[in-house]
Amino acid sequence: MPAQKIIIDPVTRIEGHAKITIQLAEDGQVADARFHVTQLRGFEKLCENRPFYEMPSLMARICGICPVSHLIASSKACDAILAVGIPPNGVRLRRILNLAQILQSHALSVFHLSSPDLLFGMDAPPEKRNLFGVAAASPEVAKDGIRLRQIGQQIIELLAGKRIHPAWVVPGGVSAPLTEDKRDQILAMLPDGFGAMDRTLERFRHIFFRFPEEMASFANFQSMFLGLTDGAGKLEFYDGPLRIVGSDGAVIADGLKPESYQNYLGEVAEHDSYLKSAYYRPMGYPDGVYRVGPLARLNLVTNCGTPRADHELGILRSFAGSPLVSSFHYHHARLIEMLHCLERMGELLQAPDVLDPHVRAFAQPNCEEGVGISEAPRGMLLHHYKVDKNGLIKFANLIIATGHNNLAMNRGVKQVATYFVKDGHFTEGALNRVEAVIRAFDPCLSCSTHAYGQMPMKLELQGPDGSLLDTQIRN
Amino acid sequence: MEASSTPKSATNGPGPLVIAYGSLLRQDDAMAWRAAELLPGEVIREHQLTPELVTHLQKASLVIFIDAAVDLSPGSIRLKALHPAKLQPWSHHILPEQLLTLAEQVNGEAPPAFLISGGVQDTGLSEQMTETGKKCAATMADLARRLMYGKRPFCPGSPIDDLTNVVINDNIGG
Repeated sequence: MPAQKIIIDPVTRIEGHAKITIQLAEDGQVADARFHVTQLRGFEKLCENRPFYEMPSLMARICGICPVSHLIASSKACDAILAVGIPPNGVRLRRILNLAQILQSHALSVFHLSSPDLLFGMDAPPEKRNLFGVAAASPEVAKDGIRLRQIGQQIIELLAGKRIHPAWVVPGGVSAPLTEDKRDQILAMLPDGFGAMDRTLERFRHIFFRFPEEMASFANFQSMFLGLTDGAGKLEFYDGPLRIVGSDGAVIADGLKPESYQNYLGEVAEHDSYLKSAYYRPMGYPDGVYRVGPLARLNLVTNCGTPRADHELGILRSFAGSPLVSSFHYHHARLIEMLHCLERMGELLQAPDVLDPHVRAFAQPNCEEGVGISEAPRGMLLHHYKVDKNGLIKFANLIIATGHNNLAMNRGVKQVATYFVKDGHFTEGALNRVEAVIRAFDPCLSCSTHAYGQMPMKLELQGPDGSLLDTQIRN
Repeated sequence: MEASSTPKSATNGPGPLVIAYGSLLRQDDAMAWRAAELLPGEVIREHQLTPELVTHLQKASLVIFIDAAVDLSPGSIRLKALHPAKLQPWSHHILPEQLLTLAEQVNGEAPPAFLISGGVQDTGLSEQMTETGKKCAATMADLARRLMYGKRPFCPGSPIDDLTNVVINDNIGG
């Protein structure tokens, strides 16, 4: 048979716009599969010549699901430009906000985007595989998912003033302290969250076991894992040195300083996507593939540091091993992190000085360059700015979690396509699995495509028999 | 429907809920928010409808959605009774009928609901509404208030329960 190309466009139930192409050879086997991000944003360019203190609010507009992550990474880059130490309670409040962000974003990913596949199976009819179908078949699942996302969003609103694009995180700290009333309102929500998580974990633990083929094929390959650490082997989302470990769990590099990221992280513009690929420099492109996000974070630590999450992590490791290699386990990792977020928020909110009014440091620019790193729901997020002597932005570089995962996602797409598309035959379920491996990574494509310029493009002219007649490249 | 002097508040039991949605940065798309500012009781203002709103529907005796519309002549108003509907699953936005369906599935029932739509004059990039949009918002608020208090809307002789897809012009007094 002639060579064929299968195109999945758009990829459904993800944040942002993307397509997948699967190239079949003449024997009907998968020759290649690629993930293309089809949206252009240009944030790195449009922020040039803006005052640096505008950057957190400006950068938050990259995304409507994880704006808090950008607020925090951007503010930390600005903190470095100010060269100030943030008051401890300002750090604490930023941490709580970040945890609430992770909770609501993970809830969206698990319940709204991925639960239809997990509850009904990858081969279920498309008209059933959506939140309506989940609500009709399992109203309690939908109710818990909606409530968990709502709790995260309400905490963000109580802390920062509004749920989407709040302006509360600023260079130097946060703009206002926490009141006793709001603290108590947040604490009062947590038992609801724990109840929903207990029910969810009870359901989903058994559900995950129904997918042995997916566990075997969903981006299940050796790669490194990158993320923040607390220096003591526990989960860390706000600040700390970076660590990179291999798929055997061995530490490849530790104590990496965020401000030196260009020494160990590189970026490449792909010819067929607006999403750049990041790689570990010492191993070069594309061998330096690594993963970030919930799966990676759990591989970097000994334990989470909170009792309920640690118990669940033990359950996951007991059947999946350690380190976790298959990207299918991102779903379970997300649930563990949600539980950890609830526990950790409770701890931080009960700190004796959580109501301390000293939450912000003030200064003028004292440094012409700043790098800010935090853990976003999807993985490590980096903002790097350079300013002139007036504090105007001259350069901005962002490396987004989804960009870190791009090489792994592409490899995962090809692995799943090769496993489930054979002899030129494919089913709706097979194509859904190709999409589902992308969903496992929970990409945020609006965040990740921020470069500016013409889309690098490779144009291939194929004859009716599938033969390649001509190639044009625009870079 | 008997008229009451005030809408029931949530603290006294189930009461009416207003959900106004639209963008504050697109001129008359802010119409719903402007109308919401003029209303008493429980009023939710959002940029768009989201599944999380279903928890508010659980406690409501009546839901009034307010939104701007581009398929109406500028300044005109449409009042439509809504029902849960099996529509295509949403992608980047959710319709009020879909929210009612979700409420039916998750809460066991959906409250009676209406959608008040106002025809926009302009939806350019600006925080300033047009004069037509401002007047329309005031009329939409008046209509919503009548629904909340159990009074008849502008159309003479049309009980609230029978209204479906009635377009009401803002030059009709009531």
